Amino acid sequence: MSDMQQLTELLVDMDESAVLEGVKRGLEAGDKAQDILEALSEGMNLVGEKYGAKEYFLADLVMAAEIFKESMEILEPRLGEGDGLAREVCGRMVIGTVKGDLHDIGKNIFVALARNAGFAVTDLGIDVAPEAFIEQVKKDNANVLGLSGILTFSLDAMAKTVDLLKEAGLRDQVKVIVGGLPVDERWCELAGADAHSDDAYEGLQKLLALLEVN
Amino acid sequence: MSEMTAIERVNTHINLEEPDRVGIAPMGEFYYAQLLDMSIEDVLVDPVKADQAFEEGFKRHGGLDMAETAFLLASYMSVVPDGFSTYYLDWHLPGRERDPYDIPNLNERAKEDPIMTEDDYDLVLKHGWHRLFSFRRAGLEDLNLLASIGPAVAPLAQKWWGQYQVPTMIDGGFGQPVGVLARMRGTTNFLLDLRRRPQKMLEVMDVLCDGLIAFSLAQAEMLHARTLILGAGTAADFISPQMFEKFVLPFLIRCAHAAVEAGYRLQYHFDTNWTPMLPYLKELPPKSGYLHLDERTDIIEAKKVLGDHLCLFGNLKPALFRFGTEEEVERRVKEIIDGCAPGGGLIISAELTADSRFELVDKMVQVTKTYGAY
Repeated sequence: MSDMQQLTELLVDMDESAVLEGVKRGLEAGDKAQDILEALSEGMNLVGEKYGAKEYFLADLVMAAEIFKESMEILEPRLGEGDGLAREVCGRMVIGTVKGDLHDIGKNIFVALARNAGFAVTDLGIDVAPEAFIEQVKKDNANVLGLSGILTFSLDAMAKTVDLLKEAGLRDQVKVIVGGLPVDERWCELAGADAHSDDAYEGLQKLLALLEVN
Repeated sequence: MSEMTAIERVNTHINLEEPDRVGIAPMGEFYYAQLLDMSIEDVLVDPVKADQAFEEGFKRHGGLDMAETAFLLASYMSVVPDGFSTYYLDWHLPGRERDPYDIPNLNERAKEDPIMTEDDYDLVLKHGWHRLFSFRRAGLEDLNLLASIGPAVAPLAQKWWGQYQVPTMIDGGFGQPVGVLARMRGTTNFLLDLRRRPQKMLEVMDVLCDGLIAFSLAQAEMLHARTLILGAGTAADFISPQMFEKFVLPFLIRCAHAAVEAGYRLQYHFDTNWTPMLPYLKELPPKSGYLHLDERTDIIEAKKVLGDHLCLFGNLKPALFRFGTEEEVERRVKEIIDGCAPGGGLIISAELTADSRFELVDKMVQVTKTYGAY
């Protein structure tokens, strides 16, 4: 087994100290940061698949995302110094929990998974006004807008945000995904969104399919 | 069979026998508030108004099997550091941080800014469970408010138990270690802690458990409670069955037995998907209350696993009552009754949101009363 394969497996096993040690040792030994990043991304993909197959649970996703984030903190300075190319961005996403709602656990996991999948994500946090979403979409030239909420009246804020997106003439160029515990097909339709999910991993798969990203 | 009183009906279900019909007990203080055009703040801070709002719903629906009598204020004023306590958590309340018609909303603290730090685990181990008090945000005014709730609510509860012969749904809360730590550390930090320092977590939970039991029982007595709500905190979808068995179940069982031995009935309030964990719940005291399951748990499977152990409660999706149709409500109620009613031990319910539509809630109530007759 190569060092890179081993790194992938260590991440799948969520062995935090061994992954971080492996990342540092790899860089010291002259491995390309890009190769290490690819190995870790593969690990995250496998963790996601295990979550989708109900072999892993939310705690496992959170742990794996944390290890990935810590690893990126080590890798990022090297990625910007010609030691491999920065990752290809598969989409630019603006996301947040809508106005009036302060819940963010599911959204945060979705953000971690989306970043690993190659999205450049601007996370506006919680209680975000519709106008703030539109402003950020323009600023980032985003092609994905993620709206999160678990309270039933969050639907109103989501619908208003999508309406503002239309008024701004941006609806055709931005895919909208809505997420949260009560979100279903009907909710998605009423909000005027393109995709929906009540599960972070499933939501990412739907988004990738929508964007036709492999 | 002649018509039973609600007390008789609920008791029979909890004893896992067939009464005259399936029980019906929608949860939703804020739903009832809208029936009288009261603000959320009104029913949150004024037990008499909360009771008036529920009574309006009770009458307009032609009777319900459990009464919601101002437990809400007690839950947000709880000195036990459980999930609703504004004493410890950043709840934004109507009339305080929010508009009077907004519902309470918990500001989940950022991972980098938890209420309780990693170092606090050592302080809990060193000084005991009351170390948690150091996180308290309340002042004397709030504590006085809590002290006034019991005397204010007691006669209202007595009206339901006596005059109406309807049991109260929940009168107080019961803190348990997982729920408390998940809130105080934040869910993300808590889940990471379970992985990074499992042994210390078990030691801390052990220290917390007895203190929380003592404190919860003392508060229940102050509130003149009969039924207490016991949540499972971070479990089910969040952690594996193996982690549940290690970190959650032992403390859940300790808390449940302590409450039951002290004479309380329990609402086991288990949100999210409990389907894979249902066999574990056979370790809870039998016939000790009722098990609230939201729509993510397969209640038909729960009936198969727990039908001889605990009364089942709930299972309709709250969003159905805003976005659904009467036909959808009727279909779902009948599915649950078909799968779970035989043998007794079923109370239909949903956690209604403030914007639930009356006609859809009423459909749930009326279908249960007619189709659910034994």
